[in-house]
Amino acid sequence: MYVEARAFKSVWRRKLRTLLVSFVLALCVAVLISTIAGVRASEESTKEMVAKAEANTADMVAKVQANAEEMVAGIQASTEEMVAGIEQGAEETIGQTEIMSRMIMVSSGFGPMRGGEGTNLVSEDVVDDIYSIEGVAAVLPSLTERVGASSDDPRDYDYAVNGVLLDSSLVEGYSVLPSNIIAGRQIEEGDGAAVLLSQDLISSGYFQVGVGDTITLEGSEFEVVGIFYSTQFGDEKTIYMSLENAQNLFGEAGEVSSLQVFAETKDVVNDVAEAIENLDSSWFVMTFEDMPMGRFGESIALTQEQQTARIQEQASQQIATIQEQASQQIATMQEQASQQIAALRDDVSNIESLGVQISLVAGIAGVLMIFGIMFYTVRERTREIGILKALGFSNPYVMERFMLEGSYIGFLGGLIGVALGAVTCSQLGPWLLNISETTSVTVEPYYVLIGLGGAVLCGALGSVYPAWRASRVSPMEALRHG
Amino acid sequence: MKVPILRTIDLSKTFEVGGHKVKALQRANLEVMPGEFIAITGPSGSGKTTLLSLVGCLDKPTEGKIILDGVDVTNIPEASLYKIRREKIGFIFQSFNLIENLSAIENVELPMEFSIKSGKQRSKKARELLDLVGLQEREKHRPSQLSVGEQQRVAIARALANGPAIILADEPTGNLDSETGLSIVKMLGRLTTDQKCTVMLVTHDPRVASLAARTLSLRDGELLQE
Repeated sequence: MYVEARAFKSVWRRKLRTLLVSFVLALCVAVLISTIAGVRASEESTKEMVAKAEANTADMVAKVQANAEEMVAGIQASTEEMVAGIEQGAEETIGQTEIMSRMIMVSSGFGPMRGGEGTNLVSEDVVDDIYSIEGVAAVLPSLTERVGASSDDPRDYDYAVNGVLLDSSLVEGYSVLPSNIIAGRQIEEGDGAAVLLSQDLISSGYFQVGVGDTITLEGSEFEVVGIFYSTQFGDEKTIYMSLENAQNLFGEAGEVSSLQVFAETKDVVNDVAEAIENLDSSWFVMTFEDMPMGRFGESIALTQEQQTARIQEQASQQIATIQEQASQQIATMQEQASQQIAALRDDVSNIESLGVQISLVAGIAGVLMIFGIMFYTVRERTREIGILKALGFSNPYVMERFMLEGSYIGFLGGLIGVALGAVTCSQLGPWLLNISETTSVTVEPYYVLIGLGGAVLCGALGSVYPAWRASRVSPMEALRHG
Repeated sequence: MKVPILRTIDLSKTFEVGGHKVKALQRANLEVMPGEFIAITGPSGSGKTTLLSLVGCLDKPTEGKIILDGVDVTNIPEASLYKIRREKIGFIFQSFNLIENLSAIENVELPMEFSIKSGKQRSKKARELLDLVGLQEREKHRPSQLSVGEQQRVAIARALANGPAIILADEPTGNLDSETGLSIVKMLGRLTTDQKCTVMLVTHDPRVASLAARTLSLRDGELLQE
């Protein structure tokens, strides 16, 4: 320990110089520690931000997937409901064919709907006259108006309003109203200004409403209580309401455009039809057999099949669209998250690179400073070196002595620098690395080792050449030195 | 039969100065016996310090041999000469060459760092040596706190630290007044009798040289036998 004690004494003898050099070296150490602390803080901060971005993205992806699954499930449920409704409606309709075979259609013009030449209204009073005919079980008057009709083409109209009696008990097992309600409920007696709307009018975009909404027809407002899926030819653009509401809407109180007369049995249908014709020869009277609907039952199954296929295809397309949109959305979110994370990682990489450069500069500055001061010290103490050699101290001893002195200065600078760095790193680190001041920069215990070790290393490295020079000094020349 | 403590055979040293060769020492043949007090005189530039430097292994001869205490030191590598200087030679310089930041006792202990491991023993021996030169009261004083005579006495004590084979004194009185100088030379003389040291002294002062048992002269690098 003799040489170490001697070296320390030599350093301490020149207090002012030693402290000045140590302080400057301390600044380098403070910069080093602040840089390391700043880089580590940035890395931690970035890690947190990356984790947060990944978690957020995963959350959002999960939400999008959940939403899509919910929508798909909704569509599938709705489709099943519609298909079931169609099946039920078709069954009911088929069931109704039996009843329909007892029906006689009466109107004053061509076809049951108003519009076109030769279509007139019939007074509602005739209902009583028809009821008086033997064999008549029920009479169901209705008023049908086509709105927006531009020509005599029965297919060229916007929609049709069908006002009917809402009492479903008149003909057992039969209702003039559509049975396949897909939303809301059936229209009933006492509903007031209410309508049953065809799904086709909504899907075509003519009406953009749902159950509970209000539509305006001919200036009057009606509540949509239900939406039905049309399974009957000519029913696709129909709006059902009470007969009275239809009569008031079109200003045709007490008048109807057609009547459905039901005979008590199928056997008396022709007799009843003849009796009705005898009431007014201008009326169109058609039995069920005369109507195209005579083949109704055969066409129902086909229609049901087609409609089911159509609904299922629409549902499949909707589901595919939803899944496609969800996939695109997820891909976009993941891409954005990747870009964000890559940018964050780029930033921290740049900060690390800058940190390395700053640390290198600080280290080199420290080494150069020690080199300078030790070079000067060796020159200043050339005579002392000569004396030591004359007294029998070896070259390695001389080199060790001066390297120790440089290392002691380094150690002292390191101690001061570590303390300085600990105090200033929260400001110095962000300033050096150009990072946000809100980044929490703190000094970890192992930075102390790095700072001290780095400073001692600077001292030793900076002393190597001067110490080597000192060891090579000729004792003879050294003793002659000033 | 006594063996010389120091023997030089045709010792020569030539310096190159500005392209010119300067023969500082030419074919010096010298024998110094153990316990002898020998003075080398000569005018300035005669080669006295060169002879001392060569004998003291501070420099390498251009030609010739040096046998010190039975060891031919001529061809020992420079890097290993420190051992010879440490164990066999004690130096006393004209300008004392004490280490300023060490006290008197620390200066005397300095050469003993490698020969005596124990700090206490080093201190004890250093005190004995300071006592020998009459400076026991001044052991804590720094060189700047001592008179020139006292500094030279510390240098003498330091030179004796490792019990050298020979003490080489280069103009030891050069920076002293005549009275102090004479007292120093007398002290050196006493070392040869009391401590059985061999002292080789270089001086340009005939009065100093006259105190030695034997005097040799150097003229233009040539050692003149008595």
